[in-house]
Amino acid sequence: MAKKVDRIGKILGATRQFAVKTRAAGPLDLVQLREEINERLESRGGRPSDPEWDLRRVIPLKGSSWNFLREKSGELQVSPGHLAAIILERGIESFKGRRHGAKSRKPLAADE
Amino acid sequence: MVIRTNIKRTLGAIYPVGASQVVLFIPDHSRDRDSIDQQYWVDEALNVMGRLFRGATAFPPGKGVWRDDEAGGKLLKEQTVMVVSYIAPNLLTGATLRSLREFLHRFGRETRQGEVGIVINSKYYGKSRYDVPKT
Repeated sequence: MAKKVDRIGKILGATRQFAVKTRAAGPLDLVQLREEINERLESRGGRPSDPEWDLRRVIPLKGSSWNFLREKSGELQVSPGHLAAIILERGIESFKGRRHGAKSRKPLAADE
Repeated sequence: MVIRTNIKRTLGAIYPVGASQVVLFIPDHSRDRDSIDQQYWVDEALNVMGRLFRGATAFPPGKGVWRDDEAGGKLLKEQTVMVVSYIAPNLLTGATLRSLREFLHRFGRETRQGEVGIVINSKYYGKSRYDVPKT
């Protein structure tokens, strides 16, 4: 069954569209996450932290999620809390990006 | 112990613009196996992608194959150039994409391509019907 053509495909006049799985899930994602952690966390004599973090909040989560964070934080040599913050902020940025795309659809459709 | 570095600061980078990847394929034949002026179209692609995305790289040709389903699955062997840009995701505006469309459809139409393919953000967009040029 043919998949729907998305916003970019519609503007480009694509007759077909499919995902190219160039970003492997798993090890490569971990490498990218490690790069981001190394880039963001700085040590000013103490435990490394992101200098842009200016709040601390208590956030509820499942025990299994915390166990996952603990497990991966060991591999990535970062604290589980810091890893949670980075993953959360990645999710927020991704969500904001999708919202931006959705917002821009209306005016585009109007002049298509 | 892990040495933590700020890559942007360490490299003295000015534009941390992200890494949405755009890849355009420029073959050297038409659907009917006629040679096309590949160098001209690679230069045109570099002009368009340089203007729209601030930079692009054309890699040396590699041997490729394309299956033409509308011609009974005939295999067309060709030398294909990949033109690649790494861009900020917010550059993919309607205006930018429409400029890109104009070029892609002109390329497909004037060189009689069975399909013009471009990958944007890990999605392949194929075009096999081309816009009629505005007079």
